[in-house]
Amino acid sequence: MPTLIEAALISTGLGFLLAVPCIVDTTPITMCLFFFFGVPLFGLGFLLYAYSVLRDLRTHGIL
Amino acid sequence: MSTREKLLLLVVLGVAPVLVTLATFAMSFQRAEQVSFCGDCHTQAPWIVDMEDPNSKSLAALHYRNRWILDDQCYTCHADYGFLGPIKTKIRALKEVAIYYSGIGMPRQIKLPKPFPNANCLQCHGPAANFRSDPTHAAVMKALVVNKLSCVTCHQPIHTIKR
Repeated sequence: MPTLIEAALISTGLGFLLAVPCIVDTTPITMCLFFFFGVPLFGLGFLLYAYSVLRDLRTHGIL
Repeated sequence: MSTREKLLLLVVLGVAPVLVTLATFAMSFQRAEQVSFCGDCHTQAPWIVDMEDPNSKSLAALHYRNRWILDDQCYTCHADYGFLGPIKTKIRALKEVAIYYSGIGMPRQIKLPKPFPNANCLQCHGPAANFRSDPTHAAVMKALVVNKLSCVTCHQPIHTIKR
């Protein structure tokens, strides 16, 4: 599996991990963790994924 | 990579995070309206102690004790109203939580970020018959509506804080 996809999966996985405490018990600390770290990690995961897809399409001459 | 794996990646990295984020936003912002959430930061404790004090004469305590506000008593008075009011309130509150945990920009003393808007009182009291028929209120109604005269000028104390 390409490294970029691995990095995207790790980043998204960490985002999910940070969402769990906020969903189970919303406190200021769990909310802060999700909003300030979890959501950016989701964003980073998606950007890495999108970049990987674009790179793949270029490699195959589609773009 | 097979088509099935590609679709799975799209769901895990694209769709699921969006759904989880939206669900967590909705759930946590709703829970953040509860008094217990406000009390989680210990700096808020004196305000909540006063509100729950059965002997307190403050407006917050009266509203709480007499069940004039049934739930989410902090939020009901402190949230701004109007179209974007609740969103602005929640963004401001999230910033305050971040300041509390990071310590960056922490004020020495807790105070309202802006003068208390009358709209927050009038949201409930405005349409009430006994409020409208009161000659004192009728005389200053225009000033109240445009925030030239604050409700709290006459109605005191809001909170009685024991530091």
